[in-house]
Amino acid sequence: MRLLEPDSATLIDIEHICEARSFSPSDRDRLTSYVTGAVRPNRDKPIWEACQLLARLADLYGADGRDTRAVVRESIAVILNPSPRLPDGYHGSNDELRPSYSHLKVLLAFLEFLFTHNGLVHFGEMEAEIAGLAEAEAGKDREARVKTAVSSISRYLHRYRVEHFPAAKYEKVFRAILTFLGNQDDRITVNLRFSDDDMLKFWEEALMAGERPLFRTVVSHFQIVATVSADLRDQSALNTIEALDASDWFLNNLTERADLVDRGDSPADRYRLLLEFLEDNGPEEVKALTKVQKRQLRELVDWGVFLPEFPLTILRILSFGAVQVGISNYLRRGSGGDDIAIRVRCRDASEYRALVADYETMKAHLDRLVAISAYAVFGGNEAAKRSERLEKIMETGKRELRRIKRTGFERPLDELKILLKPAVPALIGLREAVDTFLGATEAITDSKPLEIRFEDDRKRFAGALSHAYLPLEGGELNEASNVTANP
Amino acid sequence: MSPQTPDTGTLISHAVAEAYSRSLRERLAERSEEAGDEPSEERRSPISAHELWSYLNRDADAPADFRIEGALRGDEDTRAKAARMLQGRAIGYSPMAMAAATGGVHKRVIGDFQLELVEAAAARMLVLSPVGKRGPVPTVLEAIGEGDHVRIRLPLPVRGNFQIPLNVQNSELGRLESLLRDTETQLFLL
Repeated sequence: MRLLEPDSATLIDIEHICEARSFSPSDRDRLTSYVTGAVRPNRDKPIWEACQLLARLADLYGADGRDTRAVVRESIAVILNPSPRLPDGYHGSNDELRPSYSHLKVLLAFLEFLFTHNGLVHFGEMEAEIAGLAEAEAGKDREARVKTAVSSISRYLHRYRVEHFPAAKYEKVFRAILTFLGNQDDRITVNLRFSDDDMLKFWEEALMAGERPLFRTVVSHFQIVATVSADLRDQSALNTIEALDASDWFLNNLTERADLVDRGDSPADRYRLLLEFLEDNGPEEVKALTKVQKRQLRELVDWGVFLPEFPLTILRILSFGAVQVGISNYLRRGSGGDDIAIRVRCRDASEYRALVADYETMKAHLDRLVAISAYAVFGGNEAAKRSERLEKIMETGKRELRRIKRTGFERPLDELKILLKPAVPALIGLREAVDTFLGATEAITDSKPLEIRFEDDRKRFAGALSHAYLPLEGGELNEASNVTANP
Repeated sequence: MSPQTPDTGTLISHAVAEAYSRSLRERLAERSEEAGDEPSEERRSPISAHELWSYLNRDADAPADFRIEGALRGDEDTRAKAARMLQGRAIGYSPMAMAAATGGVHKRVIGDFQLELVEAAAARMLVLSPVGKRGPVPTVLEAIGEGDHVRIRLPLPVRGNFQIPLNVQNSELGRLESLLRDTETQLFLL
């Protein structure tokens, strides 16, 4: 059903490693990025870090006079161990080269992948790399050896990617999008521009041509093409999110700065960090967001830089995209729920107005959470009182805290302060994301009301979906197929 | 385009990697949702890489683990993995016999050693003798071949040579002998 089905051997290898190590979804995502090379600006960065880790392990294990063979044996034992224990002294090591615990955990898993993937084909070579690192004298010799190790491992991985990943097909997809946009209007790649309608048309054409890509997959491809084009223009700041007045003050006063603030500056990076927050589940003790709310937020934040620019496309994904995912799941399972013939009519698609109302409720809830957090975190802070705006927020927070009926919020204020503090930047970021989307939606409502847009889109989606999925049912044509576009 | 801007090829390949990563991540998330907390049987290899590595690196006279021994004998995939792991760590390694055996004598070169099956009237024995430079002294001979896996603790060497008498009742030795008859059996000295 997917335009490009991932390689099953890679899936199983990654899955296996993650299950054994009880990885969270975000650890799993990070490992997957390392394996696929989806790391910017240099895809070899994780390999470089992994080699530094190997060199460090070689030092520690070699310190008490073990020979190279023993060092290699111990290092591999740590790498393959699903509950690894690093040797004494690891944590006292050179700060610059010492990754955080959560990063280390993923690096070790990445090393396990390098050793064991594809039925251990590169086990011997990887072993030789550790031996080489262990034998090199610390200093210049070692640095050179690390470089050699990085380039050979990068070569193995490159060969693996070429053999296992459908990169060629992807490039075809991107070229197809560029050609499609070029045909519509004679614009060059560097100044790539497209509209909500372009994405829908591209998807419709694919369906007419007998393919069945998910609408959301098509949009995500456009998103990537847009990123490439933006990079080409050398513009890193695509869209600046309008910040909540007090947010800078919040962030600067969080003494233990959450990872969230430290890493990445571009809007795309910020959205990625918000997604990580949603996956990591936040503080368990305080139920700030329910599971359903997290999913709802994830569905929005997923589209990151598209939020301000393409609100209509996002509504389409949330509404009709979900119908198509339903059909695709139905086909995979072979049963359950409505028949295809009923589903393709999109009678149950969520109305745009209702989706917007849901996110308005969400925004009100996030407002409340931000205010409560402000009150809990900065309640006794004299400096905070100097900002009039912040003081107002904290007053609201105090009032809302008495009203909120969620698990955990009944805790004493000083406990709440500790629990909520790390979540503040993320809550502000999420609130901004929802706000951006709602603002963009309002802007398109002026030219045409959402109700009319929804009805127009229902006809188009029902037409395309019937064309693509109905023949499978062997069913007769229904009313929806009357609006099918010309082939 | 400014000179420091990465070239289009690099950007496209980044984009491709990201797109692929995304579809892989989505599929993994779906699968983990479908599977729930129970890891599915078909996806599980009977022995994890870590268990196998620890077992292959156990002390020469450590007790046998029947679950892993069972997998090594019964499961081709586990055997192949064990062979790959042993290759790097072995003092000597012989992927297959160089030439067909002649007469009553079978010879295999394993690293800096030569393994010979000597059949005299009174005794049959395996003799392992050093042929090259003096290196570390092996303590274990491990054989991995079609459908079987045997690990033999080597006796103390006499003037550098190891002698393993075969005319004794011992199922391990019997299995080793039949593995040695197959030219494709892999031999490791540990």
